[in-house]
Amino acid sequence: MDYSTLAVQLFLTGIFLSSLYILVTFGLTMIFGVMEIVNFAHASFAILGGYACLLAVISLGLDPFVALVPVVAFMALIGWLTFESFARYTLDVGDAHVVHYYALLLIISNILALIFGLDYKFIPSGLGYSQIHLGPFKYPLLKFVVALASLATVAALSVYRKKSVIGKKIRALSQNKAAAEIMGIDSLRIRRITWIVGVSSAGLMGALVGLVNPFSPYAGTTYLIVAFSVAILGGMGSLFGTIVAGFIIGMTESLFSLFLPSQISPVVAFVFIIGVLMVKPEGLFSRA
Amino acid sequence: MGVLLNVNNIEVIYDDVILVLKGLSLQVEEGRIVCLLGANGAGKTTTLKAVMGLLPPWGGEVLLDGKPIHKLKTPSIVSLGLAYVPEHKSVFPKMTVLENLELALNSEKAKEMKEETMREVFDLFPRISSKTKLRQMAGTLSGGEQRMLVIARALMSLPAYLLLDEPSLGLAPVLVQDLFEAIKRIHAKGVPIFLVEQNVNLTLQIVDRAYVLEQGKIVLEGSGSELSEMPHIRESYLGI
Repeated sequence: MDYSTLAVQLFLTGIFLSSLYILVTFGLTMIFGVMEIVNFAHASFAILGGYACLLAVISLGLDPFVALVPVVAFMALIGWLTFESFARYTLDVGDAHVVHYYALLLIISNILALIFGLDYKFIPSGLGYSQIHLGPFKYPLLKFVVALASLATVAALSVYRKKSVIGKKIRALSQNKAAAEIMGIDSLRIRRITWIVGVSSAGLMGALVGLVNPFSPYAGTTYLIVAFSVAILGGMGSLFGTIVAGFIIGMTESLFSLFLPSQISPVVAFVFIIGVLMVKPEGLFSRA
Repeated sequence: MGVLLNVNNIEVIYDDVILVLKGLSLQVEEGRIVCLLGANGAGKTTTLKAVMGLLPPWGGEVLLDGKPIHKLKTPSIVSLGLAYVPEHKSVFPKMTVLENLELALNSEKAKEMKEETMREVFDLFPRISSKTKLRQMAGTLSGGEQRMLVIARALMSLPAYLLLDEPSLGLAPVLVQDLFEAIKRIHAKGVPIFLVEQNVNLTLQIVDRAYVLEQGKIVLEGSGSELSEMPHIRESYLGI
């Protein structure tokens, strides 16, 4: 393997990792911005999305990429149910909410373990080991499509947040809650919508990851740690920061996977974060 | 003249224990500018917040056109046509000036009238009306421009009533003059204004009626000219 091939593959793997990291962090920071809630259960919603996709593929016989549509609809329903039964009662309780959301993480993970067992599962897709040819370079088609789907979702969510009426209200609420209320913005409604969008995007991310990597009920923790790292590095609540930080961490991890055993490569990102936060403790692009 | 806003014997408690307003009553009548004067900590801002539902009163009632509103939530009160300009910075700093203005379009009528209202508002506040200003992030405006933006934003909702909390706070003297001119012009269009101000001298010149609040109670009321003649006001508030 010559160096240019290697460089391109590392770059594409970096894009692949980054796209998923950005997608999972996007929902986390959006919820944090509007609800001031650090959603520890975010990754368990991702895993739930993975299992939902698995069921749709195995039981209903859907193509996994077609299955993403009912999966997102199902996750939106889960988002609505968890908001009405849980999240709305945790608003304005201060730091105590962290315990509530850690409990939610455990509840969801354990219910999944009860239903599906502890074995690692993955979602079969028709793409298998096919490769995409990009000029002289080859890359697994599946990863390529997953990265594209993930980046397209991030782009769609960014435009929604930037341009739509609801998106503007979401931004207004995260920038100045008191001012948003005197503009007549119904904060409960906007928080409900944000929560549902956040939970659905986590579920979609979980389903996309499940197409590439095996997952188990407790596998979400890895993504949770990554999402927190990206969010902190980018400055909690800044979506532009999330995108930049997602690429930094995804690319770094991909690059160092060359020199280090794969179990250790995530550590590099964390060392990198510690370094950045020593210089700029508020994150690269903080909200304040 | 009909009474539009009737604040009737309200009591407001802060932090569960501190009684800030101890049975406060006042009226804002059709087409009037009414102001509430008082020292820092007298409860002026609290009164406005109680009317807006931001600090729901513990006792008493607030009537708008005869209908009780003191049990409604803030967005519902806003939808009845009350626009509130708070004392502290309340722009959305990472949104453009134009986006800030558009967020106030919270009724069908306000949306329909957008272009026309915007022309009128820019006429009142030319400093924030240039094309480049409109695309600027609101957080990068000067303090004075931010205050103008917040008032302009309140006007975009075509308010039936305007509540202003210390609009001149922190403004350069030349801007204060402009601001009072703008308030007079807004009032001339028929919008009743309920104003809290520290600049007692200028305020008494433009208001129809003034209330003086001391320690959570109204201690004096009268027309602007009546109050500016009273020895107590001259001594405590005008420093004459």
